[in-house]
Amino acid sequence: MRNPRLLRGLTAVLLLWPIGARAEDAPLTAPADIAWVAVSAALVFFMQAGFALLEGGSTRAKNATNVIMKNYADLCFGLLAFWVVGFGLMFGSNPSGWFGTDHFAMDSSAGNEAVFFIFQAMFAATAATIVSGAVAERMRFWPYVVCSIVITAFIYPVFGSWVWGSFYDGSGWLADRGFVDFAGSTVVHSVGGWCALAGAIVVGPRLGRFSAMGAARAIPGHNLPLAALGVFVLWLGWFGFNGGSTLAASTDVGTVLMNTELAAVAGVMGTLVMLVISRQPISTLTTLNGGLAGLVSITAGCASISATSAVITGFIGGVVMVLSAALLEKLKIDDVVGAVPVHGFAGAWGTLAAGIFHAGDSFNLVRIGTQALGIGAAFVWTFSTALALFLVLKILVGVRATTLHEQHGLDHTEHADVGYPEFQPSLAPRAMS
Amino acid sequence: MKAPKSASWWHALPDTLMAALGPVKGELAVHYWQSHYANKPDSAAIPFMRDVAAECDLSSAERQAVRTAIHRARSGITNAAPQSDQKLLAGRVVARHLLLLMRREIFAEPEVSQREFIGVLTQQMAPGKGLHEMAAPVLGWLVQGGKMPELSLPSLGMVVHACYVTACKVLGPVRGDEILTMAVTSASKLPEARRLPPNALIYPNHPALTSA
Repeated sequence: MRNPRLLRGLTAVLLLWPIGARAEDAPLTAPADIAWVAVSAALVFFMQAGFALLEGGSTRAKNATNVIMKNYADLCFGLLAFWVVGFGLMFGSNPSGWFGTDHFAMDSSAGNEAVFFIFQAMFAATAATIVSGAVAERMRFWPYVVCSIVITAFIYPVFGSWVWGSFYDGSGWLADRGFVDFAGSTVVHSVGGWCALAGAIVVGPRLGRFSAMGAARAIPGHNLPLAALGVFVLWLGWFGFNGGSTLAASTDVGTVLMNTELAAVAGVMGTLVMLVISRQPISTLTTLNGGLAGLVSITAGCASISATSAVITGFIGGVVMVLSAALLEKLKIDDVVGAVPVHGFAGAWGTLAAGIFHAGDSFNLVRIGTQALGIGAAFVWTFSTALALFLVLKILVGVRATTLHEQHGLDHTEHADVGYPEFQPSLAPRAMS
Repeated sequence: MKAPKSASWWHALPDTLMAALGPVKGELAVHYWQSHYANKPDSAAIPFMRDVAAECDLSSAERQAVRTAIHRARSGITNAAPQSDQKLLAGRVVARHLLLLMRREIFAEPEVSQREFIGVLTQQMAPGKGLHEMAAPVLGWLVQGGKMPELSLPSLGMVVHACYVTACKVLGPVRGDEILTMAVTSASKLPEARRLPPNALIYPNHPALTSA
C-alpha cells in the first residue's frame, strides 16, 4: 500500500464494520440483548410450572399428578422435538413463505442463535402444554406424549413460520401481508387453544360431566390455592414471554411490559363485569382465567398499541373468555381448565385487536382484514391437523382412559402413583397393604 | 389344545359337566366337548350346549343343569372355588354391603328416579361387559332386593364399577366419588373386610386377591 491514509481508513472500516453491521442487522449480538433474552427464556420456562400448578389444582386429587406429568412431558419431549425438527421448520431459511428448510437439529456453537433457540423452544413447549389442561382427567399419557411431539415438531412450527419465519432468510407469507403478532397471541396461544379444542372434542367429556338432559355439572378442582398460585406464576412468566420478544434490551421493553400489565388487570375487570351482568357467582377460577385472557389478548399487540388500547384489549379479552366458555359448555365440550376460551378465543380476539388499535394506523380495514386472515389461517391449519392427529391416535391406539381408569384416577392407572395418599385413604393403592 | 385367552372357565368345564350330569353322561359329555369343541373359540359354548343334548340324549332337566353349569362357569361362579372359600364368602358379604349402600345413596337423591337408575345400570351391564348371563339376575337383585346372586370376586368388582359409573351418570362424578368412597369406608369396617378388604373389589391387582 502506497497510501497510508487509505490503509488506515480500510483498517478502521474492517475493524468497525462487523460490529456495526451485526448490531444493526442481526438480532441478538449485543451482550445485554443476549442476557435479557436468556432471562426471558428462564421466565417462560417458569411458565411451565405455572401451567402445572394451575392444571394440577384445577383437577381432582386422583388426577393431579397425571396432568403435571403431562406438563413435564410437554417440556421434555417438546424441547427435543422442537430442536430436531420444529426450529428448522419454523425459523430455517424460508424461501417459499410456508416452512423453513434448514437448521434442523442445529448446533449450539453460535451463542446468539442458541439463546434465540432456547427462548423459542420455551414458546413451543408453552403451545403444547395448553392442550393438557383441556383433556385432563381422561386422556391417556402416551397418546398425549405423541400429540405433544407432533404439535411441537410440526403443527406449531409450520404456522409459526408463516408469521415469524424470517430469522435467517426469507419470510412467512402472512408476515409478508403485514400480519402482526408480536409475541404470539395467535402463533402460540391460539395454536395451543385450537389443538386443545380438537383434543377435547375427540377425547370426549369426563364421565358424568354432562347430564342426560345436557346440563353441565361442575367438577371442582382439588386445590384452588394451587391453581391461583399457578396463575401468579404464569403472570410472572409473561414478563419474559412478551418482554423477551423484543429480542433486545431496549426501551421497547418498558412499553411492552406496561401494556401487558394493564391488559392483564383489565382482563380481570372484564371477567368480573361479565359475571356480575350474567348474575353468576364471582368464581375464583373464572376470575383467575380472566387475568390470563387479558395477558393472552395483549400478547399480539403489546409493542404496537397504546396503553388505553391495551386496557380495552384486555377488558374485552375477559369478556370473550367468559362468553366462549359458556359456548363450549352449550356444545358439551369438556375443557377442564378453560384452555380453549383463554388461549384460543382470547388469543384470536387479541390478534384482531392488534390490527384494530395499531398505533398510528387505528381502524384500518385492510390491516384488520389481514389480522382476520391470519386468525382464520391459524384455525384452519391447527384445528384440522390436530383433529386428524387425535383421530388417528384414537383409531390406532385409543386416546381415552376407560371408565374403570377414570374411577381409579389416572395418577394410579397411568403412573402407579397417587398424589395425595393421605386424602384418599380408601382408594389409595397404599391402603391395599 | 389352546384355551381361548378370555376363557378361564374353559379349564373348569370338564369338572362342571361331570358335576352336573353324573359320571356316566358326564363322561360322554366331556368326551364330546374334548373331541368337538375344546379347540374352538369362547363362543362355541352355545352350539355345544345344543349339540351335547342331542348327542348324549339328555333330558330337559339335564339340559337345564348343563346350561346352568356352563353359564355359572362362564360368569366365574364355580363349585370349586378359585379363591379360598372363606375369602370368597367374605368378599360377597363386603360386596353386598358396599353395593346396597351405593344403591341406597343413589336412590336417596331426590332427582334420581328408579327408572333412570335401571336404564343406566342396564347399559353398564350390557352383553360384552363381562357379566354374561349373570347381568340380569344382578340387575334384578340391585333393583328389587332379595338374595344376591353368587358371583366370583372379579365379577363382583365389575358390578361395583357398573354402580359407580351409574352414580356418575345420574348424579355427576363428584357425588359418584363421594358415594363410592363412603361405601368403601363403611364396608371396610365389617369384620369380613379383614379377610377381604373392599379395595380388593376395586383394584383388580389387589394383593388380597392373589395372596393365599
